[in-house]
Amino acid sequence: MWFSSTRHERRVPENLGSAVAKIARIHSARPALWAKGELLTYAELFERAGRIAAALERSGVGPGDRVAILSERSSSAYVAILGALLAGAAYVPLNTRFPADRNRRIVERSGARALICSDAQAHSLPEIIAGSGDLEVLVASAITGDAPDIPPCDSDAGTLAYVFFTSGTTGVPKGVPISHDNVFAYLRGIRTLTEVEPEDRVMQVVDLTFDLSVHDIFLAWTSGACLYSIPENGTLLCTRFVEEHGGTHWLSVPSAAALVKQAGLLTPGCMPSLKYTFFCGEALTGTVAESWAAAAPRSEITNIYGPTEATVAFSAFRYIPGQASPPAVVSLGEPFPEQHMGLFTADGERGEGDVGEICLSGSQVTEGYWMAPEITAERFFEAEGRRWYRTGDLGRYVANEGYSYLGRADRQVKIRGFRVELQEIENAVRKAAGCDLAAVVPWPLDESGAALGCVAFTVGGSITSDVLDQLREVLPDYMVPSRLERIDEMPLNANGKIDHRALSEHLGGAKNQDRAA
Amino acid sequence: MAETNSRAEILERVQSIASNVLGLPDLQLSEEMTARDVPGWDSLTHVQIIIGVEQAFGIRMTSTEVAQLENAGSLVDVVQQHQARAAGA
Repeated sequence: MWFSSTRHERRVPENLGSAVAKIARIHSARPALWAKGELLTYAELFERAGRIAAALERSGVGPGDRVAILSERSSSAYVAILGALLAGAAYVPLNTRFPADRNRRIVERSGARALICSDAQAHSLPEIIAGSGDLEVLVASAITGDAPDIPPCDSDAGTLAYVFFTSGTTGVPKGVPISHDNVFAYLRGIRTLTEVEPEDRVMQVVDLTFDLSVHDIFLAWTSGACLYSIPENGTLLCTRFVEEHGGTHWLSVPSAAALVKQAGLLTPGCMPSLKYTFFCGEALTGTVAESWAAAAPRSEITNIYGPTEATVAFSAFRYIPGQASPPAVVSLGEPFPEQHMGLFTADGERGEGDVGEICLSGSQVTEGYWMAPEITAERFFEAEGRRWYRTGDLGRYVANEGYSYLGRADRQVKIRGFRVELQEIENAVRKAAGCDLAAVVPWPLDESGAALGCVAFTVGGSITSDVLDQLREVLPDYMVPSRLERIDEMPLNANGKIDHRALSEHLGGAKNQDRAA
Repeated sequence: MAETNSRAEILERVQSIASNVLGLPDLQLSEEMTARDVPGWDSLTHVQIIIGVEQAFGIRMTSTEVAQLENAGSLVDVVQQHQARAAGA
């Protein structure tokens, strides 16, 4: 096996591939990955990933290139991620649950040199690669040959590890490039809050297009622990996965826990093996935190906060359960030791009275958006001798409690935990319905104010079931409105802008609107 | 004495459970059908259907079995395997 070679003496700048290889040499016989019932040891994981890296290199892929990955959450996806990194390339995850058109736009926009596809997804390839003429396509089962005996990971740390695409206001997914250095900085930060031992079992529930997956994968694989991938349709049975496999580490959006609770499956003591729980991605309510604490009585619970642009999460607050009156929403806490967090006005001045837009600075923050200097210029600014990223989240700071979330400065929302720009849906609705005016509001909201879906309003245009079908072709399911409503006149506020609050009131949800948006 | 059923019988009971959970009285399930083919079969109703099937047949599926469910036919396979093991025990 190439990673056990003693010939590997030359000094290789650390990247994620070489960091995992170092661990794999020590723990080669230990389990590294469980996915869809298949268990791979570190040796098996590296043999398959090494073969992919070699095939990519034969295709001319190397440092500085991007490799798109289209796979359900089976072992194919994980070995492809590692294979791309071992070849020195950055990976670009696609999502089998996205419409082909969205995946196609991501491939195109990322400028991927190669695409690795699992066998099960090969049928959707033609639509996705249409128009990407030079793209090298590798289907998993056709990747053969020996794994090389020297790690081919000689790219400099500081080059890209991955590019993730998030919802963009203009209707085009927005790329966020993250470097190896960014990820190592995150891992140092999160390791101040959790220990991971080779005996541990890190559960993975989020899609690979969501950067919380980076936490699970690399926390496990830089520790010699085993990553357990809970499949897309098994999230609600997660307590059973944790119990059966003795899961020790958990990270999800709070919505996932709330849904498990709603399904009646979050029973007291049902996850005795869990040691560390992290929630991220949306507001964590005290009631969900308390129910989770009862279900996993040995687990520490930490609320972590941060956008994809700042590599998974940037700040943390340790929740102490057993509170007589749990907080409505758990604090975002304080930034990780190496990172800086501040509250600024739109002019880049410190906010007055400890309220302002939450801005982030430090080694976890991306250099800027992928091939989008104008969006980068909008979202980054210089102040106090540092470069800051504007999150668009409004916050407050209280000593001893840390930062708290007050709402959005723009119209980004979380729908079932997924980050969504409402303007992107509105653009798609206008196009599909053939109207000039469309407004989308998050609806319905659950008891904590979190959005479970959205409703679209149009003035004019054709509202038929075809419109919804067209939207399903371009938007992920969580962004497709549950219904379309044609209205005679768009309500406007005092400034002449569309009054989204009035639309929410029309739906009967005015009281929760502030918290959802 | 452990009960065993034919594939058709199991599929029919799965269909009746799914039609109750989904509120689709006319649901016609075939072995090849996947969740994507059935309106309303999302992550929440999926778990309700699995738990309904477990209760109806007195079985408990392992996480590997849950992870490997691809279509209605694979759900029938799992029930049959559990029944065969129970009958052999």
